[in-house]
Amino acid sequence: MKTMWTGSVVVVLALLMALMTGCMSTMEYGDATSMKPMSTSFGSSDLQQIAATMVDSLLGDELLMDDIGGDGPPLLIVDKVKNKTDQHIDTESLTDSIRTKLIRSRKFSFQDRTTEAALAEELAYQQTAAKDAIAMGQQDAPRYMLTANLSSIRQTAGRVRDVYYKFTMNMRDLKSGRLLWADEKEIRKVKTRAIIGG
Amino acid sequence: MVKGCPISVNAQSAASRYRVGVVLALTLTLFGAGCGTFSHYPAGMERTTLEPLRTGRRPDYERIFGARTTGRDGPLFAMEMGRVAQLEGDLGPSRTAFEQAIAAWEAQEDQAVISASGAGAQVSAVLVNDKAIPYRAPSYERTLVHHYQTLNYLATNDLIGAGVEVRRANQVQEAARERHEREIDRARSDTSNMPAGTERDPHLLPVYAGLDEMAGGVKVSFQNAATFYLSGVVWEMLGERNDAYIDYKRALEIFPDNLYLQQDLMRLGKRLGLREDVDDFKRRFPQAQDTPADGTGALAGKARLVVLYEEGLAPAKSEMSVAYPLPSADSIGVVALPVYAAAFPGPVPVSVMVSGRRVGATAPICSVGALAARALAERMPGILTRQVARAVAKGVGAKAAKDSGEEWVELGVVLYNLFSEQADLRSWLTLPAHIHVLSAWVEPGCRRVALRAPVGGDLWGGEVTLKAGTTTLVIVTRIDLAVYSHVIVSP
Repeated sequence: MKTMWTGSVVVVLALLMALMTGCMSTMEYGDATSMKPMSTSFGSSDLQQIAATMVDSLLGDELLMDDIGGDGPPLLIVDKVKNKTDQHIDTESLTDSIRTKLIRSRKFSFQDRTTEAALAEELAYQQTAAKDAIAMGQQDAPRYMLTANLSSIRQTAGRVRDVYYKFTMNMRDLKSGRLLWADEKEIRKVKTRAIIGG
Repeated sequence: MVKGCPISVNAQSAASRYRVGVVLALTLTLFGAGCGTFSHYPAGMERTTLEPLRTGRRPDYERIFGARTTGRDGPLFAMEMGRVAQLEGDLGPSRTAFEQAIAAWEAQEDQAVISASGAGAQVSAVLVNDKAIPYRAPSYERTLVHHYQTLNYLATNDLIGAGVEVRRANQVQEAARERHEREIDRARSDTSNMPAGTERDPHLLPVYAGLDEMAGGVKVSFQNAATFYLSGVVWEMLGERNDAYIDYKRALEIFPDNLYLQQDLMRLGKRLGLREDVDDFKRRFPQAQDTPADGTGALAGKARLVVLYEEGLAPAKSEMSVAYPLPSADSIGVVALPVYAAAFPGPVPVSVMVSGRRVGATAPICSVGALAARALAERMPGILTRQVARAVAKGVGAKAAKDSGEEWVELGVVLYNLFSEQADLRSWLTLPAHIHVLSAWVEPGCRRVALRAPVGGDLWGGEVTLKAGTTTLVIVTRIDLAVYSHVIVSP
């Protein structure tokens, strides 16, 4: 009898704990490159996918690398990705990811135009305060430029919401004006609304 | 048994007291519900927000709407808060409030087709009234949220953000158009080729007549020429002339008599080399045919001044009781329907002066009142279905109460039916009644721009920077005695 009573208490407690666990908020570290989509919005995994695809494509183009890499790592500038989607996306973060991966490959070097103001301020300070100040106008001129567009098309039919993203990137020779390389990455996210839910 | 009698009597009197208490509590609850600030939405808005706005006093929008933006009617209060904050020049809070409204209706759209909360709201609506249903913004309000959010981004020189918002505004309008076409197709197939519009309930013809009068020439509620025009201006700021041309064309389809739309299309059509379109425009709009292409002829070296003039406040709904035959109860019931009853004044254009010289008069491009009336007419079948279901349910309840022979039950049901029968009068009320535009190419420089009322006297004036080849946007809102303004110079 006592055993039955104890057993019942254990079962009830276990059920209560299970219920309470279901009601509690949870917090854990996630994988930054996780491919599991949370919504049709542009997310971190989309950013990682695009950055990885573009960098792999650029570095994997052996003919291009032979063409432009003769005198050491070619100097590039990256224009901010043009956001042509219907979402407020931090495209600077996407640009940063691509640039970081390319720098880490040691096959390209970059000039960062987003920090120009700080750079100019520092150089101006050096002119007045440093005994071995870097003279103005000594920077290398970039030879190549990376430009990119991110666009999206959204469609909704009944319970299904379909969002198609297309990222296009080009590399241009600033001297000749020619496009030397281009690639694109498409991502499609589909969400189907549940029929029954909370 | 003898002892039992007094006990029984006492028990009865206790039960009676309890019942009376229940009736009183129910009545008080209904009265209490009727005493909340926004239980009668237009009256609550008038008292807290519209009256101060009319006289130029700053509404304490954080206190009025802040906590309410997360409630059942969150999207509505967030829209009101976003608009008031923007009028007051508080662009950060305005942007946050509009973002909240957008997030709230996106969450509504992500809800399961049959959700517990949705079903609960519908049951509440049948038992109480339509105000129990969480507020769902009609398409014209959603479009205007993106319209005003575009202005928030433009004001902070974030052209990319403004571009995102105009894309969203276009999407809302496009999705509503597709939905409307599907409904028309379905209605046609259901009613054996009955033309659209003839499926209106004959008992509500006076209701529809009032709505049609106010809607005027507006055929659908979800297409808004002012937002298409603003989209065109933003596309031009972004250097996307082709997209601008498409949106100006969409605006022209809705408002073909607007001179500035005609001139802008002529200007861009010539610039883009669209000869067939330009020839067509020359034939249709002879008054705009001399407009040169962008940056050429009389437009070379000039600055573009775009004035968005907003006039008045959007009309509020009122309640109309209509006798309606109840299908299952086999009797006539009274249903309370939302209508637009008050006379709605037309737009009054104003003159725009630059450095003391008149450059033109503003031209109406959107009547928000007309959009609201058309939106209500489009929703009326759904509203009526719920109202009739409620009238039937209440009739059945009243009959059962009468049959029970218990006076207190009957009294309770009668009181409940009386006080719960209310039309849903919620709508975004801080919107303007009319939107006008003016587009002019003027000498660059820092110049005094003024809007002059028809009776004389400047209703607004200020120093405005006009840069060659770029756009300066002047937004002036006049609400009775008060005038609000923003000047946005394209980066």
